[in-house]
Amino acid sequence: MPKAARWNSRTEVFRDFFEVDFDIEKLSGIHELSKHGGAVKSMAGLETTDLVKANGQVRAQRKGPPTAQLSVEDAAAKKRQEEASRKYGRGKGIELKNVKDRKARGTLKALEERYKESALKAKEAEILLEHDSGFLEPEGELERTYKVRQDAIQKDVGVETAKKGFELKLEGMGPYTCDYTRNGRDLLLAGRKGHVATMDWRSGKLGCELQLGETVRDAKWLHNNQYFAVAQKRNVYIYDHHGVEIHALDSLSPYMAWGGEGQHIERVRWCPFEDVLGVGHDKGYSSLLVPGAGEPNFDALEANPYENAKGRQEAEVKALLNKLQPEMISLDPDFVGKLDTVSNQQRQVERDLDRKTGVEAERERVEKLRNRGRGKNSSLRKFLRKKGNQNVVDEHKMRVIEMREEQRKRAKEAKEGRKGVELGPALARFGRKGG
Amino acid sequence: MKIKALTRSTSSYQAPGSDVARHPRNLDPAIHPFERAREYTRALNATKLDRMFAAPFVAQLGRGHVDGVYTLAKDPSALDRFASGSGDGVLKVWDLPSQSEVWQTQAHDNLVKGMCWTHDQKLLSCGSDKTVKLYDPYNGTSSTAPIATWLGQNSFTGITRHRTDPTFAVSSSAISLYDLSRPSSTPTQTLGWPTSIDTITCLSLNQTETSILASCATDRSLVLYDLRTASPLHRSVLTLASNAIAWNPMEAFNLALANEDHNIYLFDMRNLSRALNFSPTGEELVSASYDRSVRLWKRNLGHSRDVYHTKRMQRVFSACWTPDNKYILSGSDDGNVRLWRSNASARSGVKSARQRQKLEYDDALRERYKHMPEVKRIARHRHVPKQVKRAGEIKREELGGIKRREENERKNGKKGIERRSDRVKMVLATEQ
Repeated sequence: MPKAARWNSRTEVFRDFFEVDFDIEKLSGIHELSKHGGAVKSMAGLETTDLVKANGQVRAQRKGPPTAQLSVEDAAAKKRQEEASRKYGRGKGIELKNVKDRKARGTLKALEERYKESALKAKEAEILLEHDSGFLEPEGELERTYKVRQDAIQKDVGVETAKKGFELKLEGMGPYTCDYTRNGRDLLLAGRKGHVATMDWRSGKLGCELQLGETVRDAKWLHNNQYFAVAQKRNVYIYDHHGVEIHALDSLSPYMAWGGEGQHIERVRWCPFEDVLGVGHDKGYSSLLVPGAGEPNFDALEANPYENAKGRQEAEVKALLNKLQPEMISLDPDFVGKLDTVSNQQRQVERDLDRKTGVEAERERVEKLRNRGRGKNSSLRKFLRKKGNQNVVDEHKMRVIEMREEQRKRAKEAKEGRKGVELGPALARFGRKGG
Repeated sequence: MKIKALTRSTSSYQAPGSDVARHPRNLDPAIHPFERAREYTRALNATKLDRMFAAPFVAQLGRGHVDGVYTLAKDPSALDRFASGSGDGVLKVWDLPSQSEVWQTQAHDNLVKGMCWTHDQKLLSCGSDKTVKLYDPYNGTSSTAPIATWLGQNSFTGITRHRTDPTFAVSSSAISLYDLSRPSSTPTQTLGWPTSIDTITCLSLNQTETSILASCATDRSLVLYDLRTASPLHRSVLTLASNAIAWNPMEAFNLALANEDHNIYLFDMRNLSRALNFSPTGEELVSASYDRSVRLWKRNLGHSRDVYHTKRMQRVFSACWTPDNKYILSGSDDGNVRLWRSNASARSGVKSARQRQKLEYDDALRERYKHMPEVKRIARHRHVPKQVKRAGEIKREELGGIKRREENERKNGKKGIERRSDRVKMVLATEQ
């Protein structure tokens, strides 16, 4: 094939690149590179005068790669970066091209680089994570994961893990609600009939046990295992870890539904950082093993299931220091530190979502004027005038509105004289007005 | 069925019998909710703590001087030695670690106007008694006679030494260069702007571009000279006279001018028709002021980053950084030499790795959230003496009035009056 024809086709050129590539490897013995195809980069500086080699292969003449093709290492690095940014990145980066100020652009560029690097480092730190999540995988086509029973799981997993699945028979005091602390270490059980108990469920150590002697509708841990709240018959009470009542809140109406017969499940709760689901029911409480449910790697500085007393004390102080102010509460938790770019106009619109604007508002205004009736004091009008402005639409008001509509329709028809048309010019005078 | 459930053993997180717990981390953002809000809260706390620990004043050196301290000079080849000169002609040398006086002498009959250290750690001083004297504080005892004396015709106003040559320059009505190795001789070189006759108030030799000399005079001019050609290079006349010059040690072409109009101007030597904004030594600059305060400036920001004052400190005439960048010395009219921290809330001393890490993290947080209104407010708030606050208010009013008048003239007067920035406005004329 003539030289020129070969150079015309881009694919040919590519192929040539790799052919030459391998030749070089053979000569210099860079076998490591050939595996990754990374030697393309090493071609960059190659220059030859003879275009065709003795064996008929065309030598590459370019100084760089034919297009802006990434070398395999660069592509891998880019992919790695993208993966890291997806998991550990904090949203989209800044479009540096749109930043006009040179100094700000420089600062932002450095900042973006740092964010990228930190995402990559966080990704690389995954190598330090100790645990993989559990799983339940069918081996044959006939096996179904949902048919696996608890006893089968307990037989298959280690002794330590099997112990995490247990049943508490607490008949007569149920149904039970349950709650785990944030770190998943302590369990709070509360029976409808007034039995409340806390326990370190992993070691089976009972914390405190209360017989309150009145209806208990719900119970919840506060920020750690030191305090819990119980919704009792009339009030919500707060107890400390010894079971001493320390506070009674104002009356709250019960917010838990209750009813039904038989084995009624009152509450299901996932245990944080464990493959365990806690189920509170009217016969007591069951701890179920659910492989693959829990986050395998906890962050000890966030919530530590294995914390000791010292650690808990320290975490409590830290948590108090970092306690969020009420104005931080928002649907978008990342709004802090963001620029408020919403224009004033937009904000005005958002303030009243139902507000009509422009042509629509004008039309409505005219419509209102046009439809103004003559009589001022019909009972319906009076009612609507007095209560109609309220946004609460109840049954009565709906009926009134309907009646009013009907009246208006009749009045309109009467005016148009449709009845007259129906009855004919002679009988029209006998037709009931408004009827 | 393949079944695997999570298995962890308690003992792997804290070995039985040990009280050292392991703290595994997981950086997944999903298990760190409210990250921004929590970070902001931490930044706010860090800012508050920073202000709580702000205690800039460290000590005053020894028992100070009897008269006001008008000059300070740091020995460039030592971390711990400083010299101060006072209004009654006394020179003192201080040892920083012990904060005590190590040497002193009655050098001049009148004010000590300038001081500098030579390469061989000897002290040069010039005074308004028309003499320049050379002392050896490292080896001699206190109150000894000078090693050498140079006599001039007028009282001297400032002194600066050459970085490498045994030469120093003093200013009076003109700038005279003397040879250190030839005591009592006449000047080797005399420099001055041909048409200028006013007293030169301060001068400074560039320590990087070693042949460049800058001077300010009472005729409001800033003049640059080149020692190689023995001629002046450039002259700019400003709206008001300048009191001090400092060359940037890292960017040799930048110099800072302390001006009578309460401002500091940073000039680029290569384009002098335009005064840049505020200024540094390297990254930061310290300025001493007649308003009884010391201010610290960041090179690239237009406002001071901190202001130091005490109840007893009077007019401050001199200030300098220690070479380790951690402390500042100031000399004031009340005769005291004071030692300040350059970072008010920083503490020296050995820190544990955790403490250091925490401080670095706090710094990063404060930097990240510095634009938040609350953080900004707390970080910027300073208590200043009443008269300084009042002076600031008066000045603001004054400048506002001028600006308003100019705008009115522009609006109602002749067409085509352009707005000129303050940087341009303060340079009246330039000559090459």
